[in-house]
Parts: sequence; structure tokens; C-alpha cells
Amino acid sequence: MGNTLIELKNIKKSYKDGDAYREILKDINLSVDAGQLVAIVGPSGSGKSTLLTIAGLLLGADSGNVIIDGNDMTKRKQSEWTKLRKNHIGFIFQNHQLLPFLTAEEQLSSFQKKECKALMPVDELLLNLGLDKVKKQYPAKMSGGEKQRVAIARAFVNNPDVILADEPTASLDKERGRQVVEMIRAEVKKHNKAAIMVTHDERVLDLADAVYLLEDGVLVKQ
Amino acid sequence: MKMALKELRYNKKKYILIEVIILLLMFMVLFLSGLVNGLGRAVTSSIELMNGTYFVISDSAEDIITVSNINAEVYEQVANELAGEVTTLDIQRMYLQKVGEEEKINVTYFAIEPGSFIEPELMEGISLAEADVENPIILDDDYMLEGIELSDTVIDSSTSIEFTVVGFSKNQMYGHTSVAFISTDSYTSIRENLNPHYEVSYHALVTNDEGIHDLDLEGVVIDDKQTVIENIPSYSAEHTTITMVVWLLVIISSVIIGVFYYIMTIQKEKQFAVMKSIGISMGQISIMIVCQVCFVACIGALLANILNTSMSFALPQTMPYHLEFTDALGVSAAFIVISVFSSLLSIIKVSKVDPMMVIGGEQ
Repeated sequence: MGNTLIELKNIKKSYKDGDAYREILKDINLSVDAGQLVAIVGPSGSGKSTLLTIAGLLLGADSGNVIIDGNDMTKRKQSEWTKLRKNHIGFIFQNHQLLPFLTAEEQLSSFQKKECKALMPVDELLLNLGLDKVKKQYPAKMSGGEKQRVAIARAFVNNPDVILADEPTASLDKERGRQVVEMIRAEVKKHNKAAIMVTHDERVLDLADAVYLLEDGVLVKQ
Repeated sequence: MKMALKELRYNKKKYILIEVIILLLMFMVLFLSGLVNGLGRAVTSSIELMNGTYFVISDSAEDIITVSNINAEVYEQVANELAGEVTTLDIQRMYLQKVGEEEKINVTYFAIEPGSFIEPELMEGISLAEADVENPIILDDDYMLEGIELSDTVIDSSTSIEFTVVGFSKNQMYGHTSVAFISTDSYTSIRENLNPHYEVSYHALVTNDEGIHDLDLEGVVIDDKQTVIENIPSYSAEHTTITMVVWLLVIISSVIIGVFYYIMTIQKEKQFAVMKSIGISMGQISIMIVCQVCFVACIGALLANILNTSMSFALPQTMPYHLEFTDALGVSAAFIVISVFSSLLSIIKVSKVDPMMVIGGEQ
């Protein structure tokens, strides 16, 4: 370990709020090593989601650098971002966000790059997450926990460097929520990825390797 | 793309409903174009089927064959100077009666020279030249429905001249009436009967010889078949109007697909945002959309064509309906192409979807 997979350096971001600019992220620094699950907590509107979209190459920062596996992504053109996301980042969204018209298996296989087929076999991913029974089922027939686990499996399917989870427990009860985070943790350790999880849910913080609080645009390690 | 079809399969009900609407619209379009053609043919088919390329018409007639008047001298001159064959044609609207019946039947006489190259193709009976009766007549097969048979006698209502039916020909129509071919001699006797001072002249001369353009003729114009057809009274007006309706319908129904698809795209905004955020490129998404629209349009066009073809067999013979394979293909192809074009609207919409909308639970 000790291999840093994602590093955010001096990230700044402000939004126009009426006539004034509101600085939502003031000089954020964060690095996550392989095999590490980092949780970011903070009140709503504190910029957790903004930080996640910047780390996930969905939104550009005003200044600062996003370095993934040693490559400075801020130097790459925005038009390449879609491809970079596919190659380097696995997203786990709040409310699973599975496509309703694909079965569990297809959710994974439809988006998998050819070169990742051997590395991250779909069957194995589903088996690890206890999903082999719902493999052929559409999301509408799955339970909330199952859907979120399929979403976890989907995040790993292209062997990304970084897993970004946005409130993965939001739509689940206490027990299932904990189970889902445990699974994210297990997969992160197993495949040696770096993971950043934004959450409100204090009951799962003990599963994170480090917890940061984002407040007033500043990130503080707890 | 596999995903496109999987989505169609998953949302079967929704797409089947759209398919039904498309099918009905397309069917209407195809049926109407069949009627356009059918009506067009009811006006022109005898000229269209005629084995003649060039028509000599007097220049004062403004390309309208029935008001043209070519005198015997011009005919003689052309017959002498032209290398190829030339023959005469007269077109006259009249009435026929069956023997012993009061009812008058509409007819348009095509008076031709027996044995000339413009004798119609027969489906039954013998040609005017082969007939060994005083006044032979060849009728359009529609008259069979009136109960007229071979070797029956029909009477020209205005002159009471009797004709013997020697043959039937298919699809012979002119100006919405069925056509009867008679000999120029019979025609002359009708005219003489009506007007004792009648001098022999013709409505038009017909030839296939291109050399007709090189002859030095006075007071005449040489029209090709298309010009003659377009100048048959009422043809252009009818044809352009209904053709315009057909193409409007083609455009409307393909735009409807586009609009339906656009509405569904708006409903699926979030799905597209997810696809984009997990790294599916806009190119792949566009292919998916075009595939789906293309698929829906093709199936709709195919089903409508099948429905339309089977329907056309069930139609009564007197209904002016006729659709060439190439016309159906043209209409269907135009429909599919415009549908794909209107799907661009959805693609533009999706390209504006911000993948960020799936991050953060603010809503």
C-alpha cells in the first residue's frame, strides 16, 4: 500500500450566488491510497457533492489539480473526460441509478470494456456481492439492497483506479445501509482501489479508514 | 446496438402503442398514394399504355389533345416524309347503350386505324384489324361489370350506330371514363351522322419516330407523352393537390415519431445522465437513439405496407386504386429518413443533459 491513487491539490470552486460569488471549496487537499476508503461528511450545502463531481471529472475546478494514478487530469481536455471517467472512475450513486431495461448481468456487461473482461469477470463480481440469484432480473424486481449492490458491482466493472460513492446508503434502512458500505469496503480492499464516499450516515463511519469533515469550504480530518 | 433493442423490449407496451399510431398513419399515407395513382390512371391510363412516343397536335390547341385539329393534308405530308410509321388518333366523349336498354353508359372513344401500332393490348377477343364485322369495338374490361360480353352489340346513343364487341382490354381509362377503341372509319361515320358537312380531320398524329422533329410542318407542335398527359383537363389540378396531401402526411407522421421520441427522451433524462457519468460517449448514445427510431419507423413502414397490400386485394375493381411497388418504397423510405432526422431533436436534447444531475441528493 501507500500508493496514492487519487490526489486533489488546492482545489477551489466558487458559484455565482445572486450578484456575489460564494466560495464553496477553499483550497481542498486530499489524497487517498490504494485499498483505502475515505468518508467525507458535512452539513448539506457544504459542497460535498461538488467536491465529488470535481474528483469524478464531471465538473471543472476553478483552480487546483486532480491527479489520478499519477496523471494530472486537469491538463486533459474536457472532451476527453467521458473516456477518462470510463477508464479511471467507478461511480456509486445515491438511489442506485440502474438502467431499468437491463438485467443485473447486463448492467455490468453492457458497459464493460473488452480488456477488462478477464480482469473483472462479471459473474465473479456478482457472486462476491451475493447477487448470483438476481443475475437475470430487472431492477424493478430487485430489493433496494440488491439494486445498490448491483450498482457497486457496476462501479468496479472497468477496473477503475478510484471509486466515488455519493450517499450510497441514502435510500436504505440501517441494516442494509451498513451491509452495502461493508461491501464497498470489502471490494475496495480486495481490488486495491481508492474510494471516496460522501455520506450523511454517521453509523457507517467506523467502516472508513479516514473521515473528513467538509465545512465552510474547508476539509478537516477527524 | 444491443442496448437499443433491449430498451425497446423492456418498454414493449409503450413502443407498441407508438408503433400502432405509426402503422395507422403510414397505412393512411400509402392508401392515399394508391388512390392518387389510381385516380391519376383513371384520367390518363389509355394514353400511358399507348405504344406511341410523339404526338402531333395543332399549335392553337395548347397541348390539349381533344381540342386539336390536324387536317388530312398534314397527315399525308407526315406519312410521306417520315421514315417511320405514323397513325391517327381521335378522342371523343360519348354514350353507349346496350341493345334494348335505356341506360346510357359513359364512354370515351379512341378512334384509331385498325392494325396500327397503337392498337391496345387485348386480354380477350381479337383486334380491330382482325375483326370481320362492320363496326368492331374493343372495350375496357370495366364494361364486363355492366354485363357486356364478347360479340354483344352496343349502340352509340347519339347516332344509333351499332358496334360489335370484338375484344376487351385492361385498364383503359381516359378522363375518369372507360375507353372504347373503334376504327377511324366508324368514327367518321358517327361524325358524318351528326354533322353532314363533316370533313375528315384528326385530333392528333402518333408516331415513335424521332425524325418527326426534323419535318417542316406548319401550325403544329410535337409533344411527348408526358406533356400530353399533363395537359389532360383536370389531371394536373387533381394530381398536384392529392400528391401534396400525401407528402404532407408523410412529413407529419415522421415528425410525430420524432415528437413522441422527444417526450420519452425527456422522461429518461436521468438515465442518460447516468450513462454519460459512467463514461458512455455521446456518440454511442446517439447511435442508440437513431437505432431505436430507425427500428420503430422500419417496422411501422413494413407493417403498413403489408396491411396496405392485403387491403388492396379486397378493394372492388371499380375503385380507382393503384400503387406501384416503387411508389410504396419511395414513400416508406422518405418516411424513415425524415423520422431519423426528427430524432436529431432528441439527440440534441440528450447532448444538453448534464451528467452532474445524478450526483447529490438535493432534489
